Amino acid sequence: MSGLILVLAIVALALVGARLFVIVGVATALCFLLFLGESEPLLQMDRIVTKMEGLTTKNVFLSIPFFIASGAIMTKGGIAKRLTDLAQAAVGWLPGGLAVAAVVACIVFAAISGSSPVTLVAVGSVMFPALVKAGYPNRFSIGLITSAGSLGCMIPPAISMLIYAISVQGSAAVDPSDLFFAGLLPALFIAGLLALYSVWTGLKVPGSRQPFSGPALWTALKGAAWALTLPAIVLGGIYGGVFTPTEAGAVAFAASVLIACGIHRDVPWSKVPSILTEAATLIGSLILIVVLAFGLNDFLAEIDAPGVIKGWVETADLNAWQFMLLVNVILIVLGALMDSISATLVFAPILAPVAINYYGIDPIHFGVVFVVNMEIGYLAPPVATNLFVAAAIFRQPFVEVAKAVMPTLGIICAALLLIIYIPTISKGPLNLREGRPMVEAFPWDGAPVEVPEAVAPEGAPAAEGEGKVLTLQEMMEKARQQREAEDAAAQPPAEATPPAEGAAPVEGAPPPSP
Amino acid sequence: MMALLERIDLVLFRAEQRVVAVMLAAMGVFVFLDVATRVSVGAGSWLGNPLALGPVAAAVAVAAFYTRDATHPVPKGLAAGLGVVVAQQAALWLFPNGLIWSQTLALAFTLWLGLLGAALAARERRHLALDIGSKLWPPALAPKMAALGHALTGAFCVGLLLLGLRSVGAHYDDWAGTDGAAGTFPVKMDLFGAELPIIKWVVFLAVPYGAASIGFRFLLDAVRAWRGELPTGEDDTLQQLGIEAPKEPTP
Repeated sequence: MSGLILVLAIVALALVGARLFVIVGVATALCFLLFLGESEPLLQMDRIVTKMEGLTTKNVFLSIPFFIASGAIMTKGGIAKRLTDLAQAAVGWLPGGLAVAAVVACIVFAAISGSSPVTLVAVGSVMFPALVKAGYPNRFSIGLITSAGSLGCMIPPAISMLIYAISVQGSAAVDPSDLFFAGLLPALFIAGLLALYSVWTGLKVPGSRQPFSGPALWTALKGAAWALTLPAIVLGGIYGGVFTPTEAGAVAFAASVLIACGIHRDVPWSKVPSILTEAATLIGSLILIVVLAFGLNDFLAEIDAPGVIKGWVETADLNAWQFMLLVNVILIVLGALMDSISATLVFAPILAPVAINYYGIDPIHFGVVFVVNMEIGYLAPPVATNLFVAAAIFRQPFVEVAKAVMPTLGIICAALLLIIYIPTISKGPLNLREGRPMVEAFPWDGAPVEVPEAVAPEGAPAAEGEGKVLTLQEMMEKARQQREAEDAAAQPPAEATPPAEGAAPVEGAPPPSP
Repeated sequence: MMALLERIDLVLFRAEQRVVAVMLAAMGVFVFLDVATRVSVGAGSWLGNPLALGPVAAAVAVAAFYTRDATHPVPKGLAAGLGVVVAQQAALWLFPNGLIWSQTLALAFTLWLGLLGAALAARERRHLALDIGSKLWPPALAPKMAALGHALTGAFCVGLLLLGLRSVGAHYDDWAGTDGAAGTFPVKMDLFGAELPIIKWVVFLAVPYGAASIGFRFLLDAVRAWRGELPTGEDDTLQQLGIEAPKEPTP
């Protein structure tokens, strides 16, 4: 009965167009009241506000406003034009060069802006008319740019990845910088497939190539070089150990102001306050959903939702590959119905423990797969953020845009299957960086991963501090310790350190969030 | 009555815009300065040496002036390099231990920034909704349903406001009852030698204020939607994404 009330309330709110944060908040409140609130219901409701206030203890969130602000500043100027000029000069000589340039421009722009819709608007408004003018089919041009624009959620510093790392930390230590690194190759892989599709289409379009010009490339490079340094500073700083991802956000923020206002001079200094206000508006629409979802996560942990899911998959007798296939179908449906941040916050903590602890899927690999699914969600109706944006900026009916993305959506789905079952695509570069064998096999037999530090004993009640959100430094340290433990476990038995059930909490962990 | 409420809304909106811009800028500057000073004073950090930092900064500045086709890029770049060294020394003098409190302060600001940003998003109708209902309701009923949705959102915010006030009251009692010994964040700001505590109830006041402001705006929108003055359906979705709707009819 309680479950029915909950579902009816959510459906009713969705039908009257209540905002997403209200749906999440009401769902959280009802969960506490209906399932846990038999005694002292007001105290249960207080947990919602306590969770919101708990934001002040979560360093990891600092990076989100900074990256959003940095992206907002960089994208206000003429950076899209600079990047598309550079991409055309660099790859325009290929068959289908202009279309390949659109894909390249989308990737680089997404790395800077960190936003799929913003990438679509900025690059699409420049490249779509150019592609149509060059003779590319209308539908191809719309589909390509709309799909390539959605790569934004995979390119570091991707907010979706940060949210995933935060969401699953109760079950596995995921270093956000590792996740960034692991997402790079899959993003390039998808972009490469889209580029091949562009070349194949370009072969049928007469005059789709432009002659290569060294001076034109130099001029374009000179114009775009500073914009290109931003991702280099962020990634170089993180992987060089100079700063953490949180601090990288502040560095990116400072660098973007310097580049956009001081060097490019695309953005007058007087406009910075209004851009910051706009960024804050975006942050506000995001953070309210996030903080309210924390309460829901608490509830799901309290009722051991992952344990319930595990029971289901045990009953269904699913193999690892069947489980992953099912998860992907679920995630694509969820991605089509919810925005990616909410879907990650609510479902990653439920699905990841089962994938990691029961089927032996690597948490970083699972994160990459999760994020690719969310990328598909940007293109799948009815929520389909990027389809709405594309319909608006290309002035096309929504149905036409939905049809236009079908070929590229098919390519991305095919890429997703390869990424799922060939974990080397995501983990390979990371393994190489850490001196491990590059090739990583999919756990077809479903052997659980040994995660001694992060996983609580099965069925045990939540320990003090469990489920708390760690700082980025702590997450990185925890992930490092876990890797070391895994390496030790891979040694001959005499040297291995057996994982202790219910191992002690990580040293130096902060007190639990309120 | 509605005109008065809209004027109050506008005044609040402008004030909130200014506050969030200042907060976001301050957060970015403080955390960046913390990183910069830490890199400057860190063991083995060659950038801490002005003789190394100066030439590097000057080279970057010359390249910057060159790429933006400025006149006399070299003298300007050298001057900028010197400026960076002076700024570094000034930062080290002002903050010899770095700004270890910067992230604590920035997190306190984040709560205010998030809630004020959410209030701004409420006025600009940028909060995401699941756009299911608008496709199902007949056109005549859509505004009424939208009004109901906004009213329910407003009611939710009123609930949040009351819970937020309860929590702030508890934190205030904690702080006032101990003469400020408790009810603060563990790190104190060190500004020009003065140690300033970051008081929790002041930070957590963001929740009731934000809830009140968001709720107020959604209740205003409920009235507007009831009167049929708000966009619905696809136009509403585009507004949530901050995208301008096409001005020409689609082919």
